[in-house]
Amino acid sequence: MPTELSGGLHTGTDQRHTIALVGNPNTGKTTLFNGLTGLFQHVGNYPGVTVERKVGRLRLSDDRTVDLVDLPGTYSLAAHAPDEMIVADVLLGRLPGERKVDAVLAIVDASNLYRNLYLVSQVLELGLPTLVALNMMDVADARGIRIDVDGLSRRLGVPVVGVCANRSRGLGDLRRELVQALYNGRTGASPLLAGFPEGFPAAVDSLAEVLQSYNGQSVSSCRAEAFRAIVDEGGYAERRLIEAHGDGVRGKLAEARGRFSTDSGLSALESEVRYNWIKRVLAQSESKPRYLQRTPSDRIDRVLTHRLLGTLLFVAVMGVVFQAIYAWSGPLMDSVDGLFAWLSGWVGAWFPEGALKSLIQDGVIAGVGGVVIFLPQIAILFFFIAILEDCGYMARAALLMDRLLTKCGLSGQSFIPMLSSFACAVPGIMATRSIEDRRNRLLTILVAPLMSCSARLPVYTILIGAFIPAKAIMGEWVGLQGLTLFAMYCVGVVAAVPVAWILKKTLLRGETPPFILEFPSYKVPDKRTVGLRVYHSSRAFLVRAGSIILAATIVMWALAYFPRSADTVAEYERRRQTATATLSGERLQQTLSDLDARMAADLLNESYLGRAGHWIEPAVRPLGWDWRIGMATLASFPAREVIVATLGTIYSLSGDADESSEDLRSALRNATWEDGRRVFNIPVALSVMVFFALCAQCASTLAVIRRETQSWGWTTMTFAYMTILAYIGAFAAYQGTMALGWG
Amino acid sequence: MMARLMQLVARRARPRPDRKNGSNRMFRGSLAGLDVGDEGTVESVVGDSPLASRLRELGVCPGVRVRKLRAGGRLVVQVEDARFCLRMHDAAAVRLSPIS
Repeated sequence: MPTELSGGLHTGTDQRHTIALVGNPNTGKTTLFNGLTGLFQHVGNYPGVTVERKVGRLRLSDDRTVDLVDLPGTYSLAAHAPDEMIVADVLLGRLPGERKVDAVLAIVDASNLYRNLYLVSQVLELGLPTLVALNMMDVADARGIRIDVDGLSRRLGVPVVGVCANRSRGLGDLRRELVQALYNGRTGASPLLAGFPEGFPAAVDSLAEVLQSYNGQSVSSCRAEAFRAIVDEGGYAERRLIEAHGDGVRGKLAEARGRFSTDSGLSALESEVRYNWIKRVLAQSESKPRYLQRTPSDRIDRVLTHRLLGTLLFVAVMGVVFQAIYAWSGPLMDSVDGLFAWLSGWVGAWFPEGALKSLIQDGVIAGVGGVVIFLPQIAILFFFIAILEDCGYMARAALLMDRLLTKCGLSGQSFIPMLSSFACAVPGIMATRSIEDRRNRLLTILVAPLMSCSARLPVYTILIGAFIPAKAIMGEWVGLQGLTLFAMYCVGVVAAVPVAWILKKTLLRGETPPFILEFPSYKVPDKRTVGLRVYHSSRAFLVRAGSIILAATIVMWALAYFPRSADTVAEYERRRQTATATLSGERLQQTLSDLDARMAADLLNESYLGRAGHWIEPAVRPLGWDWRIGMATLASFPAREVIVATLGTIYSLSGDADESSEDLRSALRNATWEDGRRVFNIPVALSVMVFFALCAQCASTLAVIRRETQSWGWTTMTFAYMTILAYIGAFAAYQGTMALGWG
Repeated sequence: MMARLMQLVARRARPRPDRKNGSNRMFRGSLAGLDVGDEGTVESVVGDSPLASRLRELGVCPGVRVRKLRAGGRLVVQVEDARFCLRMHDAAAVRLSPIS
């Protein structure tokens, strides 16, 4: 682990300690993590699983640095969902390849101690040095909730520090207390086993001893694991133990459970015992003005979750987001475009004519530049998603969407993964880890790639800009271009409905899974949280543009440039000389540029790409495409935004275009078939866009699906159904609009 | 104007009873049958399903007072200082003894 973080800040020579940050969802955990670590973060994956692993460098008050691991938000260590399993595994030191946790920083919401202390009570039993950060003290204060911090600390048996993560208040105290916790840490009081029937603690202990003889871990961690395995019948801890130590454990578990069968089960007893303990702790350390207090959030919710008004506002919010992506990004995109045009001109002036210049100008700049130009749109999309998530609106939107999603076999829990998929399917699919029900999770994973991700935006933007007239309809408010963009986003959503419905009726049949969603209080979004989200996603996009897209672009350029027959070049050189000898003035200029264009077109036709393209042309002809679109599409299967790059390269090499995307638009407009008809018209543009809206052209997404489902079957199935759907959709779009006479 | 509109909506939304199931006997005495704005004390969470254990972990335990904030197919309930959204037929698992 230390190797991936090495660089920059590392000062100590000793092995760095690891502190785990745990807490319920919506407690300001990410804000605290960002506040403590700043930009020194590393986002990666846990070995073998794709759960996002966020590690940051934290400098303590004694100038030592430690690794702070931000674990996913969870309500309990009982682990119903995959991301909760990760939390349990990391805290128990059961994740292979992951360093053991030296201390735990548990963040709790001071305005909601009752629920938050449940997880704390479980963490205290792990036998790790623990520190409790009491966040949102200001919110608690405003509601008249008084907390006796020292008293709470005494009753929990560990230090408690009040902080305001969003105002960076109390972070210094936290850094100081963490030193204490790490180096002479108290491990807290275990409140639990006393409340269970007599003999139960002994049963847990005897299983814990067996476990310890297997794995040699600490007594407390073995006891916590034994406890979970006995209490959560058929749960994650039990499965893990049987996997690790064989069927012998099964008998021991049954024996322990058999003696203590209760009416409502051991897990019901556990929560009762824990909450009784919490009530006792709070009775002595917290005072509230009133039970079940009403808050401003409740009043806002009456409007935002209102059946009619709430739905209308939801549609309006989504409308604003999509309009902003298209309208606000214009000036920024123009400046990126200008930058690449300047770069290309500069290269043109400096490099001698030949393959190298062509590679840089036609390949790298035309290709990568054509993709990087969409950075502003991607940043704006992530900006809105981060704001909606951080202010608390997402949960309300999930409520409104649950009804609709249930109808096609999904649930409100699928909403956040689906909405994230509009930015990128990879984080979207990873977000499904919070869905407990396996079938529901699979279903969400299978349809999430149909949501129009930001990589499709470049394709839409180019084609809409080139072929959809910039007309305003319905007064000044809605533009035809914006409307077409919106329609493209709808294509994926509309296709997802029957796909989900059919899967639910066939392969993923089962009962409607339960649905519980917390409504966090509304708050002003945290600047740093939103900023970092935009920063990380923009960086990921640029890295992609600099790696996979750059590589694909260079391969496409080479295929389109070579073999570059010397005969053809010589033939055109001869004609050029004849023209120079016989013509003069304007006619000479025109003939020369005409010859240049024809030479470029001939060379492209003879290139490897050209030959392959003509071979596949019959397959794409029914979609209205020429071989160049067909090849560019085929080349975009690893990453769909490659199409913009390859179209840029192909048209740049065919002499129709310059490097900037404005010129790519005019090149697309001017492209012709052999008989002189224009290649592109509105039906062809729509057909290409529909194809890209539906097709599974993303290697990263397929890799994530493979890892999350642990199955090649589901991965192949996603690829196959999406590609077939895309072909049918594009065919219908082209033939349908041609029949309407839009051609 | 906007503020006035929001006020109007808020007022309309508050006293509306749970129309669909007000007369449904099956839900009487459960969270599903509670009227918007009313409070109740949790008697038990029925069953051993994943949903039941999640509800218990979230603090829906015997003796805890809850208030209903939104009715309908997806209802919102306040438990201590937290608010949760759940579906009506799931909410039937939460048995209440109403407070008059």
